Amino acid sequence: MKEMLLMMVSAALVNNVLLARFLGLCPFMGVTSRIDTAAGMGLATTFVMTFSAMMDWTVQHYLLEAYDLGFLRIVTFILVIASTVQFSEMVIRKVSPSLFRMLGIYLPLITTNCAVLGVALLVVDAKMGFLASILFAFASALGFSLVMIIFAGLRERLVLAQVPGLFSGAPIALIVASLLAMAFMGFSGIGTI
Amino acid sequence: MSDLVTMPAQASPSARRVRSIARVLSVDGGTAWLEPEQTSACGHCASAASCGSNGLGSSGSRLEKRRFPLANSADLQAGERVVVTVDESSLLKASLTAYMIPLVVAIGAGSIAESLYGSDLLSLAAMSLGLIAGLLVARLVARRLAARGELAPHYLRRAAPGESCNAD
Amino acid sequence: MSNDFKTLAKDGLWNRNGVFSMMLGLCPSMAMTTSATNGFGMGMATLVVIIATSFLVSLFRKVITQEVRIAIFVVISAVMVTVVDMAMNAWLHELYKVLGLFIPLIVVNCLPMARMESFSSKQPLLPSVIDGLFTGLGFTFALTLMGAVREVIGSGTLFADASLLLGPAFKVIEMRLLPEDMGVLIMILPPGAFLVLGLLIVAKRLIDQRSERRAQQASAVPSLA
Repeated sequence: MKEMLLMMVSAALVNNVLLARFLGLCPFMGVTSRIDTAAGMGLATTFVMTFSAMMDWTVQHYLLEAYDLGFLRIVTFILVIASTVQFSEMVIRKVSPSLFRMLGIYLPLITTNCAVLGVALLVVDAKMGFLASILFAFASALGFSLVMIIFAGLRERLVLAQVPGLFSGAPIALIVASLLAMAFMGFSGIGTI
Repeated sequence: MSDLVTMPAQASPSARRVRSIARVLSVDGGTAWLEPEQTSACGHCASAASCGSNGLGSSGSRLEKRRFPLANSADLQAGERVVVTVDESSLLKASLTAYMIPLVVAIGAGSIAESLYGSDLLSLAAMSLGLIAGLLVARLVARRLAARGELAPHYLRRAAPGESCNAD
Repeated sequence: MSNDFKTLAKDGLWNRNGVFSMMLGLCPSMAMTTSATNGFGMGMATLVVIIATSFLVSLFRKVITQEVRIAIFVVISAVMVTVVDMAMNAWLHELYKVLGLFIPLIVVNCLPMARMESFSSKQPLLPSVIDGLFTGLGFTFALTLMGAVREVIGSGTLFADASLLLGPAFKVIEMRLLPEDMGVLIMILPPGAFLVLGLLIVAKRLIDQRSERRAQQASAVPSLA
């Protein structure tokens, strides 16, 4: 139990998907101009990441390894992720059309999110059991969402600051991100993996 | 819903409203049907390529699925552009309902199965069942939220001729 | 979109540089630029994938329908990346170990996808391949530059391990520019990546601004006469 928690903390904070592993940077720069869009995107990514990790683990163990098709991993994983995204869209629409109206735009963007494919590959590389893999993906995704929300908060403040012309937009956001990365480096040393 | 640049310096965060622009498609008695205008949420990543989905539908059909009804209190005509607002906390509540509830239930079910039986296959089965259960719970919560009007956009005013949705 | 090769070259390398202008493909740009060699290797791998996918997509552009085009792009990308992954595992094993996770991630690199979507699917074979080539070269340039900056300030070397990762012929470019203990470690760590990219974008904007001003002055002078 303690190991699971430690693993989750390390996946979320110490080896943070965004700031330490550099996965998922496109939405990081793209949808973090407001806190609510960042939160929406983060939670959607959490959903997709966890369930595609689940599907990918299943495919890896019962299909690829069983029939020695390891080289097809990249192709199958990306197809599984794309299907998971489509599936999530359909499911959310069925569950509640009003929810879908709000959240629908974020889902397609997640298909090409390096974080989802990256975490799925990390999960199979680590060769953990089923639940451990799921928790790892879930924790990584929560770490991702946390950083997205924090960064969005920072960027909202940035709008009110006087930024030199050349720096406005992407450069100052990146510099702020580097400070955030420095802060998260303070977590290193906790736990393993 | 996508958003315009809202006034950053508002007093209480919970009162912040997200504005966006929609077009009136048709008016049917007291209800108007609107469709949100294409935003640049996709343009953000500059990979509008992958925005078009992966297989099913284009951005056009995507907008189609996001059509919504609105009480026609301002005597709107088809083809008009209006500004609608959504409570900012609505997006957060919607996300939590749609994503976290099923996730938490699924993971909970999987964890229980794992601690009881320790078999990968059973945990997988339990998690799938948990997902379905979670989605049903989410549907109930979503219905309650919708009934309280928290998920629906509210009409603000007609859009000025040149106004557009410029996301950051 | 001009098919003029000079325009394609200039756009791919500078005006529409994947990393500095369009901000695509940020994941490998940050993660794999801890040294110039890594950046160069990553860029080259991506270059091969971009050229191959541009070629294939342009070849089949008449038969790819609108509905399934994204799916086809993704599958073509995935297949080419698998090929590159296995090839590097076989022939450039040291580089493969360093780049690790990021070779499969070329599939979801927005840069090949964006080029396929906006160019290769609509243009004939040769312009697509040329465009792919220069986009890839621009990407490699960006990554190598970032890697070089981070490496020089971070550990004082330039192109360290080039002979190990790229082959013995490259030993000649390995150099040490600063003494060992003068390195600023943070440059090689994650914060340094964000910082260097931000500052390089500013540098590019500065250069663009200056050249624009010069062009304006040059065209303004005749009217003063």
